[in-house]
Amino acid sequence: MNTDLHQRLRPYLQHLLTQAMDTQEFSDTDSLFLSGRIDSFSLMQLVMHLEENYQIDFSSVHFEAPLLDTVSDIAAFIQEHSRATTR
Amino acid sequence: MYLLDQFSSLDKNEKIIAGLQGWRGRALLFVLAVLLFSIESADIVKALLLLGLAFTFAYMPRHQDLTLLVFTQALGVYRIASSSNYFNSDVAKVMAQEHIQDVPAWEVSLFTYGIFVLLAWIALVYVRRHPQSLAGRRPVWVLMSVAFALLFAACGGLLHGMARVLTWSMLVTYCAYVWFLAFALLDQSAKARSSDAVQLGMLHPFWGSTTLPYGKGAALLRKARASSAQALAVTQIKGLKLLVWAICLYGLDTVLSYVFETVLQVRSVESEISAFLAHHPSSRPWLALSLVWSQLDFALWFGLWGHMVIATARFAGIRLPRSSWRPLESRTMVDYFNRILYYFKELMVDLFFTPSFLRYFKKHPRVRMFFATFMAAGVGNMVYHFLRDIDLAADMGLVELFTSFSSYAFYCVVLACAIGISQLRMSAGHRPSSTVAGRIQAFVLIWGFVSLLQIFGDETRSHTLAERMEFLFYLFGLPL
Repeated sequence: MNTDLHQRLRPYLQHLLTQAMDTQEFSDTDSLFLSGRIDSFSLMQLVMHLEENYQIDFSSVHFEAPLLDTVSDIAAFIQEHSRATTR
Repeated sequence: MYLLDQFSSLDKNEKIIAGLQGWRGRALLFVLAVLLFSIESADIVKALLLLGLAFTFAYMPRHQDLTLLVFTQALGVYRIASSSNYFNSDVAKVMAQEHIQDVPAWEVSLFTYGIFVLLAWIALVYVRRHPQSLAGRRPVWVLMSVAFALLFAACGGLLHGMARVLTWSMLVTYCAYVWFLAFALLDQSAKARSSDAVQLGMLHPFWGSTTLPYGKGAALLRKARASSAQALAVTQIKGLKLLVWAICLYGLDTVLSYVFETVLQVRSVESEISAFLAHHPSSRPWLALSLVWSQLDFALWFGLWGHMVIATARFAGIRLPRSSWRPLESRTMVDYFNRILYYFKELMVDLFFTPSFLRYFKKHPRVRMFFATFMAAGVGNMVYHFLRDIDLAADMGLVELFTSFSSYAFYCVVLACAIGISQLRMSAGHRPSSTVAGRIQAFVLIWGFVSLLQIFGDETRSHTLAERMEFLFYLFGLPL
């Protein structure tokens, strides 16, 4: 488990949740998307964030919303697809 | 209030959760669920059948893939074999046009259904083996092309006799299942993709759906299955709570229908447009009331129907999100779409928004967002409703089928632009006010807008776009 990556992701996810007036705590395994805490619009904001900060080309990878459901899921997705982390 | 609090926290009550893991608790829950379900459906046999399948599925964790396939397909065959099925009436209509009387319509429907399931399975295998093929890279567009090819073959005057009947039968079957198949094809490129049994078991799954996949596809199912006896008990309690809420909505809709339609004599939007065109319009406040009631009735029915389906899925141990959730609290157009039509929005997002967003205008964030939104709320919405009502082609013919759709197409364009603008405002940092006045303003603007759009969103196709536009101008006292 890459805890550094988890910690780097949390502020942005917190920002998305705050946008949705959600101020509850969330753990690394709490569902954010399937539970409805993050909607599709926020998910696309997350996609743009990952494209910009982790150089992931979403048009060339298999993508479905459940793959980015929790902090741990997102971290695993980044580790698998990011050109930035593999360099 | 105390009782309401107790009821809301049922799924956190350790004693009840433990009780539902024994056979007595499970039997009691089943009886309660059947009784509640029967209130709305007025059909205890249907309730016993559906919930019997759901509870059996829940308590057979070791064989769920196969059970899902068997239950879904058995119910599919049962629906076609029962005379009330709409496939059969659609097929019978074209059989009459082709003067074919020696075969019952249900036999044709059943035969076509069998062929469809076989072809769907072959398509899954093909896409899995050839991920770089057109069907693998652009499954949605390929599926749409097949639908329109079938439509032109069945109604374009090319085929006659039994060939036309079979093509038509395939078209109505295909259009009823096309969105389920789209989810199944998309899942073929997933690393953790589900088995073919699950994919075919998710083609109109046994817990219920319309042409809209409630519960989406196998990707969500993988995440949503209750993984332990305790999780199953909690999921089932949530199902019961949702069912109780659905029955409350049913009661509310019954009372409001009586008040609006019987006491106040408020007519449907279609009737009001007809009366206006016949130069006998109702007064403007009455027309506004008709629009408000039409929208409210739509919201209540969508909520009620969706809750019944999701409750059944939860009894089966599948932790699906609700199909509508506090729509009156919507703060933006995007929020409204998300809250009132969750699974429809998900379909549009997964099949139209996300692919467009990931592929086009990547260097222009605002254009990217607007275009993807337009592809979902505009184009996707149009295609979904066009294919959903494909049965009209038998009576209308191709030309009228397309021309009569202009009003709904206009509705989709306006809705897409409104949602797109709402998205762009959010991107620019605009946030709806959380004050009471701000909430009231958001409610009036959003519900006023969608109520007004009912003029064009009505799906009966009995009036042209120009006639509806004329009605809109009259409503605001504007000369045309």
